[in-house]
Amino acid sequence: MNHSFQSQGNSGVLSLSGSLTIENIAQLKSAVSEALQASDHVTLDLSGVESADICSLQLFCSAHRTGARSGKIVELARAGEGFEASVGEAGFGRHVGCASGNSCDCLWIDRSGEKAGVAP
Amino acid sequence: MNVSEQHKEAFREEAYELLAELESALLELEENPDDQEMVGRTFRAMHTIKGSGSMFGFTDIAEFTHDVETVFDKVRGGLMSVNRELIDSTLKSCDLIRAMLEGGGSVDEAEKNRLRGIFSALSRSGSEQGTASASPASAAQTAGRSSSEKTYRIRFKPCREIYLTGTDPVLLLNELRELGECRVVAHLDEIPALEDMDPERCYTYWDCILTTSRDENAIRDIFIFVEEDSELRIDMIDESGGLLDEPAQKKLGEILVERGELTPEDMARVLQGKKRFGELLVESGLANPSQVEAALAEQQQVREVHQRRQNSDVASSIRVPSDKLDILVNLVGELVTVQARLSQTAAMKNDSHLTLIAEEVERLTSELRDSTLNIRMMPFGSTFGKFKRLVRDLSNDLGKEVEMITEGANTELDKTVIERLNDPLVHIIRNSIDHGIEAPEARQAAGKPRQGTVRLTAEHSGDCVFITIQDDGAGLDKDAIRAKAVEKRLIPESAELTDKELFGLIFAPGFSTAKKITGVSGRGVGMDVVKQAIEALRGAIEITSRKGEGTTITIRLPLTLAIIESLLVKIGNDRYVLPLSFVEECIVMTRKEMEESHGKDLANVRGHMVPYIPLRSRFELTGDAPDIQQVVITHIDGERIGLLVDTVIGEHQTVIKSLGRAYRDVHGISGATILGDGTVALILDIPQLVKWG
Amino acid sequence: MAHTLLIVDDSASMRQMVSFTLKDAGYDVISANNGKDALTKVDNAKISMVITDLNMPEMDGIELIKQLRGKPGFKFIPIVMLTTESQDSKKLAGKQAGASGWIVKPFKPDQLLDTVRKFVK
Repeated sequence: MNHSFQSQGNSGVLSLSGSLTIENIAQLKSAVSEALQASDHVTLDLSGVESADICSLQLFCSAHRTGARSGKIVELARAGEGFEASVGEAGFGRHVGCASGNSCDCLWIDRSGEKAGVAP
Repeated sequence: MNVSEQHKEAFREEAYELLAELESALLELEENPDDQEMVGRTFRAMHTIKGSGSMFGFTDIAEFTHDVETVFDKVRGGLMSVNRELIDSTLKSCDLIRAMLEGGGSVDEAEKNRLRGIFSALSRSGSEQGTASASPASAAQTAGRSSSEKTYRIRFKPCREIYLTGTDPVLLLNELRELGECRVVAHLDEIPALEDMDPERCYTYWDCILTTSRDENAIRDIFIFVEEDSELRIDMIDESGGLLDEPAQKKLGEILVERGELTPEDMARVLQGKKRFGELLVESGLANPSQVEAALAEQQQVREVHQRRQNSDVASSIRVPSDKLDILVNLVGELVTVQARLSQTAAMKNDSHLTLIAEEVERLTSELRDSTLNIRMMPFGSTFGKFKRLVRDLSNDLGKEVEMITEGANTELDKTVIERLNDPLVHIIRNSIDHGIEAPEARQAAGKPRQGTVRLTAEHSGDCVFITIQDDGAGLDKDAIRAKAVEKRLIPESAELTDKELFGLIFAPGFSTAKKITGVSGRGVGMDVVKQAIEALRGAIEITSRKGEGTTITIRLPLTLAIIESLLVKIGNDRYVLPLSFVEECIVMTRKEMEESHGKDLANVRGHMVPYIPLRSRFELTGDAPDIQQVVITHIDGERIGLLVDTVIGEHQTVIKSLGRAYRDVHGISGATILGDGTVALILDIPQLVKWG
Repeated sequence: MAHTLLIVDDSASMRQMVSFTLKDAGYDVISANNGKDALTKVDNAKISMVITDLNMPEMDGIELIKQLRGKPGFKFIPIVMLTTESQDSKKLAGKQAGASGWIVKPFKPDQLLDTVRKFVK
């Protein structure tokens, strides 16, 4: 996994690439926490992500909720096939967002999860 | 055969099946004239015969069937009722249609005109006697229950430390997906805020909705290593055996209430609003989004499974001409032979890579063999209709009252076995009704019910099927049998026989105890022919009887004819195959032991003397026997008889090849097989060997 | 990229059978005779999964599991023990040491591969 953070005013982009696995979850957590502290609007650029395991998915979920509590926004952007497939495998995709944040900006709404979640 | 001939042939096949179905429906109807399902079936069968008949050029059949169909349409509409005469005429019509299908001038024109007259009169009248009380047949009864798929709800909540034991839950979810159609919804409500989170722990848990033909254990096996530390709950929520007309599709709220995630009161309250139920629940905080999501997934999956099931009922089976199946079985037979050669070659080469491939081929071949043979299996019940008809007609002719009870309709047997079983069974049932069951008055005088019973049952046991024909008639007359056997010089006058031996005489050639020849039982081509036919199927037949109480005939048959388990033996340079079903054990025989028995051909099996047939001399083989030979002890008709061979090689899976016409009269050999090394081994016909030995 | 699996067993025929099966299925295999031997062989390799016998000279399987779990890079690696039917207490000890699962001897190649696929993508 590689990561880099760029900020502009109140927003920042955390670019991630490679495989997001438990081996480097501690690294990912601190990167996400730092980004959330530095900006009010964090965009996670996933274009270089090949796969993500459950630990990283639940970390994103947590970041989103943690941000929402203090009025900050966390969103996912430029997710590729690999990431979407991981979301589907883990069963994270859904139709109804979570009540803890702003229900309509849930990270997992209408992701391809439903399709990927069903075995061919 | 040109295309239109092919279609004609296909129609004939279909029509024969429809006629058989029609007959059984009519017989049911005779007992329950108000059975609307049977009325519907009769009508539909006639309707199909008429429609397809006219399409494929059987206009005579179409014309004839028209009025019959009209009459049953009236019955179906409640305008006419079923009575004995109608059933009689319709059954006769079935015979006539069959004759028309066969063509070639076998149609009885007078009978045809008579029946046409009856049905055309019925189809024009009828309406005046109608009571319109019966309800029309419902179309929903065609609904089948073809698949055995079940839908499970699996709640999997791994322990938080699951990653620290080297297990990735996603791989377990993927394994679940391999079992069948699976929807997976992750529950995210326990994921804490960043500062409280140990990112190496698993806060996620899952609800999976799985539709599979595997059982709960297969699901549990996936979680075998983590089950102890995890929360795992598996509930069956839908079964394909369930009735279709039941309102099976649950509403979202019902699913949540069933799971205990929502109280019924809350549900009622929320339902008063107008928004989508799921959103309402989340907004009002009564359910969290994951719960709603999982319930939605369940709802959708069950709906889809039901949909698919309805669609698949239409196309879940296909019709294949049986000769195509025969070709398939032959090919599989060849394959089994070649596979045996491959395994042998691999073993000789001592090449572990080749051995691995050979083992794989062996596994696949045996699966292929099993499923191919399985395709040829038919339920024995498909013949019941015919036998019921036989019983009905015979008892009418003889003025007896006989009811036939059938059991084990679902017992499956090889198609060829069922076909070749027909004549023997007809013969046995005829005997039961003709000689077994007494006239109603005689039965009453003996304190029995007027109506006699013939019970035909089929049941599985191991790799055999037992078919029994049991009547509650007069039973066998031992004295008559004895007198007859003495008269026919089958036994000396002074012979002392057990019941079993005495009854066994019935199967002796040319034996018949009927005092006069009736049109029913034929002319003494009695039970010996039946026995031969059963033995040709590599089966066995046994008879037990009690005077005044009845007779039971038990037929034991192998499940299939094409491939058998067998014992491979060697005599001289030749190898022979013995069907394993006859074999009891093998014993060793030294030259010394043979000399001690003074040429009497008796083997000492743990103190019991068992006669044996020395096959080497029986087959007139040259050369000397080895010093140590082996006796294969077989079991035939309750007798133990040995076969002396040079060596026993071992068990063998034998693909049966017929020997062709030239060898038809050779006794003691029932066929041949090709061994792994490409040489031929003869299959010994043990009952014949013993008889001629 | 092929996964590399480590097989640890003091029986040469067992090592051969396991590694033959795994290689045939497309995995890379490193074999070791016992726990001690294994520890010397893992340092420079990225291992995806460990399959280890329990009763071995020099260092047994339980100790190997404990040591591996203490090494960086082995914290989340699946470690499967080869046990016999009667070794329930060993199985428990292995789990406590951090084993992910077990395969009961004797086993067939297919069973081995099924278990490996449970842990390695």
